[in-house]
Amino acid sequence: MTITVSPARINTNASNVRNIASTGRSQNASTPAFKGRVWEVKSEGLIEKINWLGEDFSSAMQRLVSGVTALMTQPFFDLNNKKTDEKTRVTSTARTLGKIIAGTTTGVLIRQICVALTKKYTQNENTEKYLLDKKKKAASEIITDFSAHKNLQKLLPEGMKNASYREIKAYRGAMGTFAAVVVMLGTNFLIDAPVTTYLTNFFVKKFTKTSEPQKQLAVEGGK
Amino acid sequence: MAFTNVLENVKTYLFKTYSGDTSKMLLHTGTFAWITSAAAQIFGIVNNDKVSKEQKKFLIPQEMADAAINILSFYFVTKSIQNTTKKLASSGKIITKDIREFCVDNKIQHTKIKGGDKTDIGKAILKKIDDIKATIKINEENAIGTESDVKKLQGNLKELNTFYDEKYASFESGVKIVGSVTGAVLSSNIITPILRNPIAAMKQKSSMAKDKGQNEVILPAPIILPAQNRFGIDDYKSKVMAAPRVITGGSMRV
Repeated sequence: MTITVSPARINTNASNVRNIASTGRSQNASTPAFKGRVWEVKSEGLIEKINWLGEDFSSAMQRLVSGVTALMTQPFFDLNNKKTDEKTRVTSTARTLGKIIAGTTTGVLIRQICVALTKKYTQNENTEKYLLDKKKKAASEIITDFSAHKNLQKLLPEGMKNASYREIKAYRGAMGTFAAVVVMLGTNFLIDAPVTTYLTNFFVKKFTKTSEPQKQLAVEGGK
Repeated sequence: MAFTNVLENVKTYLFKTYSGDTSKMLLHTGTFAWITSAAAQIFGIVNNDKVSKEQKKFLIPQEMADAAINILSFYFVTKSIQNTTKKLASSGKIITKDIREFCVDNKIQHTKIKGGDKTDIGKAILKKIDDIKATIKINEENAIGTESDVKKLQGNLKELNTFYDEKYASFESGVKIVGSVTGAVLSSNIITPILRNPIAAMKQKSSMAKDKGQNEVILPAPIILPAQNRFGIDDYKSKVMAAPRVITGGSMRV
């Protein structure tokens, strides 16, 4: 029996890993071959979260995270922009808020819908097996013969009908998101832009109303 | 028919490019989405009647600066952070106990070796999978090894495949997505507003100054003659009015 597997240079010394996660410092600083630090993730919870990100994080979730953090940072920068006059500053902040709210809402919804639609038309034995393993489908509901359900594989490329669950899942994300971006070519003009304009005007009104009595009070106080 | 072919090509391209890498898809679709969104937002400001002309002079350059900076910083910052985090996972700088132990048991390089090749755990596992597949093929073709040897190799192959799919790939992809999200937040929500506002303010000022210049009627500076050359109303009365009148064909006095 000949086994040709022979990686050229392999470091099998487990102690080469300097475990800074558990001790905060090197356990084997004398290892000459390895200079950098290694962070060995110990927490099972953290590993699970990282794996979840790798497996289940979608473009809709990324858009949501991006939108929520944008709401926390961008209006602050606009409101403190001393390089322009107060009126423009207020309009600019209102516009930023409107843009984030409109963009995030439509962006998340359209991505979510498009990925869900793609999911419906990219099924095979492996995706069914996954659902059965995860107890998301009962054994009686599982489709075993897809020749009678060709519609459910409409969006799978011809040569990839037997792809693994992992590959199909990543493909669903890509196909769904690209479809969403194409849909958003229209909705950006038809929904985002007018909603942003409406919200900008709404926030400008709101900011001006709240700032006027304050100014009035300041003037009266000054008297 | 042509549409079916185009769709099939698109599906195959998307599958081959992104089925192994979600973070790459997030980067590319994110960049494309920002481009279309920026175009729509500029269109929105231009058509907003309630925003004054003066404010538009700030908001339009603000939006354009926002778009340019956002698209560029989103792509490059996100990509570089993504690559860094990917490298941290593939070189074993960030590792889990399971991955380290698996690498040790299967003689897969997971730390840097002085003078050795770059460490890439993912590539090393995939290479090992390919090597075992090739070995099985050679052994089958040449009828080498016993049945139990073949079973052992197939068992190794299955173990490597399962480990790669269920443990390593999702961990590496997860670490890379942490980089992707960090990059997206940092570029779009911190770098872009910090850079775009001064650029837009500068544009607004120069645009307003240009407008002011066009609307003003510039009068020439008054010419002040020296005292001896000045010609006042008294001089006019005494010199011009007293002069003899020359009658021409018309009624005008010359």
